[in-house]
Amino acid sequence: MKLITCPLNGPRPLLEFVCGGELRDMPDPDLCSDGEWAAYLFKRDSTPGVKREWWCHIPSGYWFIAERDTAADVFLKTYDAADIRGAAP
Amino acid sequence: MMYRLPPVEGEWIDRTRELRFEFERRAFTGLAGDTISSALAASGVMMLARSFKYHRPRGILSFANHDANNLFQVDGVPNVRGDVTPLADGMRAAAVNTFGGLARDRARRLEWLARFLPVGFYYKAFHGRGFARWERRIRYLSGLGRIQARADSQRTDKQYRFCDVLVIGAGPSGLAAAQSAADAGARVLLVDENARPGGSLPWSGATGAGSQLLDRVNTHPNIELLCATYAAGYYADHWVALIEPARMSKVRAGAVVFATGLIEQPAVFRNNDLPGVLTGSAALRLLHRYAIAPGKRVAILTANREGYELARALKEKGVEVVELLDLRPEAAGDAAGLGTLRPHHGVVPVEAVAGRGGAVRALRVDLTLETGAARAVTLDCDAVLMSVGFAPASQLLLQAGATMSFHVASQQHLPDVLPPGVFAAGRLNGVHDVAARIADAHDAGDAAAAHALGQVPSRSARPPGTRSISHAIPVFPHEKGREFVDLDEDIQVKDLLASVQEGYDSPELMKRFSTLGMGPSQGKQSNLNGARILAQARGKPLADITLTTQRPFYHPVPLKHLAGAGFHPERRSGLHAAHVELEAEWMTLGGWRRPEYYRRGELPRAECIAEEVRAVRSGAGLIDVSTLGKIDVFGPDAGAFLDRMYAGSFSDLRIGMSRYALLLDEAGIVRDDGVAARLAEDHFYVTTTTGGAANVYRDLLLWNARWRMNVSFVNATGHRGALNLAGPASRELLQPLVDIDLSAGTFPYLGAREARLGDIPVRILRVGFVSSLGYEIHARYQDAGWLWKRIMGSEKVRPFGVEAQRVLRLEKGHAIVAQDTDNLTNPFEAGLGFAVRMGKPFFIGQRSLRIHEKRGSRQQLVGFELDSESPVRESHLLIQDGAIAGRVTSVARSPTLGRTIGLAMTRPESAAPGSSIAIRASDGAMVPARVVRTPFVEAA
Amino acid sequence: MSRRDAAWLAEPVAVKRVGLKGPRAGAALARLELAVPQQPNTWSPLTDSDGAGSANVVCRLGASEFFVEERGDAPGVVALEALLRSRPAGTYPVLREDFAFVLGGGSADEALAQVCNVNFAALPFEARPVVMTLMIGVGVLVLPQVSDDDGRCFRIWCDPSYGAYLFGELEEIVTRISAGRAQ
Repeated sequence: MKLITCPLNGPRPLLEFVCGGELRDMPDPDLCSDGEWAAYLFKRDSTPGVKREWWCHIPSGYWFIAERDTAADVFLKTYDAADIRGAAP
Repeated sequence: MMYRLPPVEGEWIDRTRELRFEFERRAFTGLAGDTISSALAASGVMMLARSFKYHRPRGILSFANHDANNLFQVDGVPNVRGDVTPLADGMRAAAVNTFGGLARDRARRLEWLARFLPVGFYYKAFHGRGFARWERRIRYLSGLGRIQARADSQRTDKQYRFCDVLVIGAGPSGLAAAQSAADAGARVLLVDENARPGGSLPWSGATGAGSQLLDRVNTHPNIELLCATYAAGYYADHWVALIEPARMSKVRAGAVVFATGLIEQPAVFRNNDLPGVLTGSAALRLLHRYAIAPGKRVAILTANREGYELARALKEKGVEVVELLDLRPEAAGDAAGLGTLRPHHGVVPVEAVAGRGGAVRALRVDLTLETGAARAVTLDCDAVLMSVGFAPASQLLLQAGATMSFHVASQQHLPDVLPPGVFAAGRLNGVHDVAARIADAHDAGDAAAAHALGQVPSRSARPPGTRSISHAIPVFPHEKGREFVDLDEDIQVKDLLASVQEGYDSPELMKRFSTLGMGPSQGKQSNLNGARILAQARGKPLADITLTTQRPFYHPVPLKHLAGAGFHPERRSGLHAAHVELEAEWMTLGGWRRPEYYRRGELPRAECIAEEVRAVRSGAGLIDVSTLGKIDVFGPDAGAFLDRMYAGSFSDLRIGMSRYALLLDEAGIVRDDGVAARLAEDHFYVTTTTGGAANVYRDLLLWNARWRMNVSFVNATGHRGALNLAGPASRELLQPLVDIDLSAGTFPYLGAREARLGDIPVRILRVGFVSSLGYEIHARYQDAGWLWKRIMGSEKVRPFGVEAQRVLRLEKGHAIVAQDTDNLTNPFEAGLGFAVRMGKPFFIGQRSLRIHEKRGSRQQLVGFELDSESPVRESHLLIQDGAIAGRVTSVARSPTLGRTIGLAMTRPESAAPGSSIAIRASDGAMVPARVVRTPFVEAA
Repeated sequence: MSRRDAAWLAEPVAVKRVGLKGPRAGAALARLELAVPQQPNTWSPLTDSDGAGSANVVCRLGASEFFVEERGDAPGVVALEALLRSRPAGTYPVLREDFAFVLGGGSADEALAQVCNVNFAALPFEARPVVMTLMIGVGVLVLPQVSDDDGRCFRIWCDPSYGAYLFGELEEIVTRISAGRAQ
């Protein structure tokens, strides 16, 4: 079973976590068209590659960011959500 | 015929303890330390089984836990592996899949029908109605052991293990790797599937430090050794499933060393499946572990140095080797120490010949290449040992993500690229000479320890060897067939050629069409020869053939090991004991044990529930609603946060009041609901549905991780109990117990107060879910029991359960999220528009609701009544103009009204009260119903 | 089950618990002269007069949540509860009605290995870690300690609604382990 290194709790098996989906920017609801809003809701990019995702460590209720290479199936790095603004290089 | 020799050094048997057992209803004896098959071999029993398809006599082939023809039914347990299962006193064993016993198996006549049963015959015959009948017959004739449906269930536990380095295989390479890793400071777990460690060490010719390996490993403080344990599968991040005798354990390793060695492969020639034809390493295991000689006149068929060493080993123990037959053309072997035995070269095996008991009595070979002139001879022998080649035991290594490629020089698939933390050692790496492979394994152990401990390895890797110990294609077809490639599935050479001819000419297709490699040994002794045959048939080099994908498990795993102890998490409210006392009938809902209703003497279920409903309508009832999600939302931004999160407005909620809280998803779909009460400027108390509690809490945290507002959340779901006192008498019953004024003016509908009930601090919410007048009382988990007793102390209060609650809320016309709504329901369709404040600056789902508003509703949740009793159920469809117009979401007989009422999704045009709708019952009959206004029951 | 068994379980009695969280939660503890563990997911003896084996502990759960458990009169908890009732800014009460128990004995690690995939045997007790993990499907808080009363042991807390299930399963496991050792 895969290991994820939780920034707070250290390496733990996958079953202690739940994925909250990819980080995505919400378009401005007041300015975007219906079509743009629907695309935000329902379209996903499933191209294999490095994705930034929300992950939650269930027992501690701690949400953090994981960068995952979906082609190689490897977790590259994990960090606290407060670090998003200074996005990963 | 096999027989027991005088004591052999290091033997695994205890000659002082004799055991009695039965095989096929005949009595035998064996020794402590024997396996079932070794005891039978020592007793001269050569035929152990009938083959899968043709029911041919079979015996020992490899004696390494791969033989499908060593499966026995033992004391009611099916498919026991005779070659590795220890003999126990009093055991009763029998062959599997025979009809009338092993010797007289009636199904052996199937072999006469062989020409009508070619590979894949069942794909082509039996079309039409005959198939079902023939399928049953064929399955009956070609099974393995018998399952006892009434066997006692057995509970095994599971365990997690941790180590720095996991070494799989405790032969010379595994022992060396474990020692090096442990010397480097790693905690090592060493596993071996045999009863004792050592593997081929006794006959490997190891000297000096090599021969001390076992002692070193046994005494090393950093090494834990597990025997009779095999690694069944490799999973992500060095997570390996180990099957121990008593349990399955799951080990997380820092690095893994595969020292799994090689699996000897049979030669393919006519009648190579007869009892008495076995691999050379099988003979070595029988010899060194159980002191058993393979026969009295042994012939060895070989294509490598190992065959010569085998001859010497047997002669040294006094076994007569009468023939040494080398497939290779020149004198390639070292004939020293063989006495008068003169090897033949360029031998082409023609067929093995069976004697009267079914075991081999002679081997016919063609010596043309040796003599230069056509010469076929029949050589008397009672055992044929095949030492013609090996395949790597690479199944788990491949699961670990290693890639392998075929090296022509060594005639072996060797590892190419290994993922980080994965190491291979010894013969798996193509290193065969014992000193070299021990050195190779030391390197691997060192590197593994370094990887696991985050250090730099002190030794560098060395390249794999190039000595070939395998014949390029030990396959000798015969015009009369019966040259078995796969002994599990009775597949002959012509079966594979037929597959290719039919167009199933890749290994994956050939496997599935012919069933090559699909038996209990999963191709361990047949895949390689099959690939060779395929390569030759297609005129390609073997290196171009990709072998079939290897998947867990390496050996079959007993289901009880997989099931383990069977944990089923269950939640209980703090009132559990009270419900037991009141004779609750239990149900499990959302992971909680809840009272469905309370038993009343002999009253049937429906009546109990109806009485509970009537009690609430006429007086007061009390229900345990501790399962509700309960979340404290604190902070200066609490109100603003709830405004953004929920569809309604909460920042304008007065302290001491509550409001229905509707949660939508970003697509505007109803997700959850509850009540949000304001207890202070910066403190809201929010409830959720039972099933949604954990998800809603996590979602609040996630959205705030994005918005970063000044707000804190506490999930108090399990830490608080809650009761709902409902019914027209609820206020007068509750007032004397609490320290606040409950009168309508002071504590209006939707009021929320903190108060004391006796000594207990409680939160009281005036709610209307099941009745117009009702109070939800929340207290700490430990206080809830006392609270219940205090309120139930009044005889006028009747406890009611989940089923009564469902009916009561239905009478009030209240929808239950995820029952009366689904993944497509927006609030406007479910009558929940009142809970939405579109005018707020932003809330989750708002943008989508604007679109839903524009599009208009496609369905509408309405209340309906039936004129008569009828079997209408939830999910029954509404039919209009021959099309589906909706479905019933809730339906129940209302004791209060004496009618059947329900909620249904219907088309907007038939949503107006008074409209007629038609519901299709299970038997297809159409039941007329009338749309009515909700609530069905106004007051009370 | 006795404390001489290879593995044993016990439920603590006469204990008071309180939780608190928020940006100023640490300051609230400091104000009452209670210890404030510096690292997330570590614990401390509650006051200066409590030693490393004391039953009075404060845990830091994640970044800004604390959990305090104290025996007997529990003056620390009482004071903290009073402080929280006064609603100081940035500090919020967390109701802690946990089901709590202690797992000890020479084979405690073996019992844990059957229900939990954290390598407790490899944890450095002296670094005073607390572990939040799942144990047979239940979220738990685990505090490894060499306790004055119980020796090397694990203090475990879980949601009270799961208490009966978790304790029941562990009781069976611990009984089996002890019976196995007794032979």
